[in-house]
Amino acid sequence: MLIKKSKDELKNVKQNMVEDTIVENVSAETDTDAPLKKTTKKATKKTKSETTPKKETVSKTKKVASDKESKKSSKSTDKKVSSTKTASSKKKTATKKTTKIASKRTIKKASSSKKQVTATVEYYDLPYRYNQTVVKILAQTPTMLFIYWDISDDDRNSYIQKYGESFFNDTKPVLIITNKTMNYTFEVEINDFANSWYLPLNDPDCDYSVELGRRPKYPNNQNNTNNMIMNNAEKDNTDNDSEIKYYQPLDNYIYICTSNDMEMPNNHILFDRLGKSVFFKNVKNNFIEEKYISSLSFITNIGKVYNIYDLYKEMYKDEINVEDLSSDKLNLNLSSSGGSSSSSTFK
Amino acid sequence: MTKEKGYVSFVLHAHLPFIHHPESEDYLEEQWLYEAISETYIPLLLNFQKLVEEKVDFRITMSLTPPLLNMLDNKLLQERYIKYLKKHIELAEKEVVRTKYDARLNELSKYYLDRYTNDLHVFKDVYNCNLIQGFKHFQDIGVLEIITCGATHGYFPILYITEQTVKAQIAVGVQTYEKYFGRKPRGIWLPECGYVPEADKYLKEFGIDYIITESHGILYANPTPIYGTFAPIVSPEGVIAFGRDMESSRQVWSSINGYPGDFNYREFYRDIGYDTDYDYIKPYIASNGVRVHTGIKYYRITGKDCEKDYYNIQWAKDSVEKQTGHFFDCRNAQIEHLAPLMGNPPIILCPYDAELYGHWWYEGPYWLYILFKKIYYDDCNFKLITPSEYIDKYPLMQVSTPCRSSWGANGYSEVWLNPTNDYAHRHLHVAGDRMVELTHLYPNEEKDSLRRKALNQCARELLLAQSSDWLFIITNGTMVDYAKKRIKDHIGRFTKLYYQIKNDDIDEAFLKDIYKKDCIFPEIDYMIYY
Repeated sequence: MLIKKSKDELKNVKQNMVEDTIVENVSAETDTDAPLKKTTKKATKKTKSETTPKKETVSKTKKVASDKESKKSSKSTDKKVSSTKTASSKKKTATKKTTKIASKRTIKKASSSKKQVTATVEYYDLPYRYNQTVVKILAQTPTMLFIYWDISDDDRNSYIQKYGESFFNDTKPVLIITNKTMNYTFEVEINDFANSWYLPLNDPDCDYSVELGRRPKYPNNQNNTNNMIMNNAEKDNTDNDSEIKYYQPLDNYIYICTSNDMEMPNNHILFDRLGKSVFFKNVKNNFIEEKYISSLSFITNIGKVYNIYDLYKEMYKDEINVEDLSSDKLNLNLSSSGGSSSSSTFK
Repeated sequence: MTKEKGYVSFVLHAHLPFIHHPESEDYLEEQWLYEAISETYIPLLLNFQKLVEEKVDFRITMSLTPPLLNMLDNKLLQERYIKYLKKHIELAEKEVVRTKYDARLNELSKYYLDRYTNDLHVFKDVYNCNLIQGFKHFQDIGVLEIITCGATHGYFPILYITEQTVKAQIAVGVQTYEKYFGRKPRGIWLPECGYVPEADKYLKEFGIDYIITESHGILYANPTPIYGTFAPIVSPEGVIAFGRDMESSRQVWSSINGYPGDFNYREFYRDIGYDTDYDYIKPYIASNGVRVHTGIKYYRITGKDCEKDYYNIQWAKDSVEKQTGHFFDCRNAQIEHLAPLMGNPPIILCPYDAELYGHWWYEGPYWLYILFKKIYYDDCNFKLITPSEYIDKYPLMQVSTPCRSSWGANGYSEVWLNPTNDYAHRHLHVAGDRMVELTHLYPNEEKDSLRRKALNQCARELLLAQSSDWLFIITNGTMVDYAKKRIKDHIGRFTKLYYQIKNDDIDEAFLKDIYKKDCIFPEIDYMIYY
């Protein structure tokens, strides 16, 4: 079954999407390779056909793990999930009639073939979030870092407990990027609408880590304090018995989470790091020998080997995207997957 | 023949994602396997056989990935391939009748009838429906070196955030290889040539000697390899890396003057699935009525922006002769130039997707056959070699760490990590972490216990979700819905099982059902994630 969807959906990949449902008849036999006798199969986005006479089984199997994840998520998430659920339940109602007809047919066929037929309905959606406090970083290119993050509900609540109800309104998320190799850090302001970010970097071939934190929107501003006092006042009014809670001031940066370390790829020939000698290893006996490469003849030879790549640059200068080929930066457009790769002809 | 001054090594990477739908025959994606068998795998085997029969001493290296091996070994898919062939033979027979009005077309239709009929004979009678044995035979007689790949072609530079998932990709890749070929693999094709030094220790742990990298995997290595891509390097952990030669790659891949673009070669995009009358072709296209490629194509590339001329088999063969001569001369010149600059004789490594040969470039397998004959018979300063043979002959190599790289567009991870597919990575990472968590919560479960089966299935689902193909397809914008659905299905099944295991509430019927569909790696042991 192949269902076509519009390309616009690519933009909405982070949202819960109503997914195609496949209804399958599965033989009770355990032989995995044997072709299965189908009675009815598949449903598109618009229609569903169910082959099992037991409605309960269907609803049970439809409870996917993603629901569990969603339940734990924040209010806004719940709204989204519930809207999806409503949509899907509407669909169910709309297609009830079709379902019944399909079921009848199935039963007929099943009884005639005298085979026990059970059905499993599978309906999956990716969890909206995992309710974890996490920052992960990946290298997209030598100078482009991909970062994704989330803060768990428990952690959110603990910040609210500590800093007041309006903590997330009064603060803004920031990423602090540390280049561990060159020993510097810088900060990037992000926003609460995003959960991932592409971050350009200046220095490839370095080790990075990223810290997620929050900073007051109005540092040293009375607003924050007022807000906190107001919060406390409100609390006092509504619950006289409760202990008066003093929130911590919001003047400083608040640390949330640190990412994994990521070494960015290198993007040039490292002639500058080539010393006077290099080491050679005999992989059969693990014997290592040092070769001095500072002699003129050696340098000439290395130069000739690498000149060949310059020659290629000249030979193929008319090719599309062949540019930026300086002596220490080679063109990389030879890569197959981006060109007329054969694997792309299948996929 | 003069003494060889250098070597050329062809490496063909044969891979398709695991596509197995016992629940329906309507998945068009399943046809990728059948097309690849008919257009690439069988033609390669037949050409290898011809070379052996003609006593031509040749060497070639192929990676046969674990998903491909599992599919080639799958009874249901074997049966469906036979069905596919019979349908094609029926169509070709009709074509012989339909094209009677034109002698040239009629000759071509008879050619296709012969070809599909022969495929059926070769598949059923010669290889007993299992092509793996065919490839194994050529490995056993020493002309083909088969290497392995990551279990499901998971892309290491993204997965290694949870290192055990990379370890599992390698472990299962090696185990699958051993199952089918009865020995350990010496080399591995890193999925998408995605190299990270963090994987080296696992490669060594599972006995891998060498990897293949994109050119800059070597050229940007640290310290700079003094012989460029013309000699392998060894990483501090002991993994040997061969880099792709840029010039020979360019001669094949170039979009402007690459070999497959020769005007006499068969035009891929003119197929009777699109060109013939709809009612006539309807029984042979997609079941939902969408026109698709049938594999029967009557035109040659002819030229740019011109009316297409009929394909002429002899003209195509003439072009093959001409091009192999060009390739042969270029390698001779290249090696002549390089040999005096090197410590050991240079090796020119030519890695390609196997499916380029035959599927995309129809004449590709024949091109290899003619080239290999030419190298054997003509006066030449180089010989064909496999990477293993080269290592054994010339074990002294520079110590250097390859550059983090891939063979994707622009050389790094953009193909598998970009705004179209980046949503998937957090799910893959969480599932990887959860798999590791499960192995620590429930280590060494009893054999045949339900929980062990569930844990093993979790491992299968995770591996299938990690396939780099889904991310690639989403980027490419081809079968996007299918690729997205596969990620959702495998993550969904994994997550559901994860909770069932943790709640001690495993639904046996559900487990059986998903095993029927995702039956890859029947012998998997989830403890590889420990």
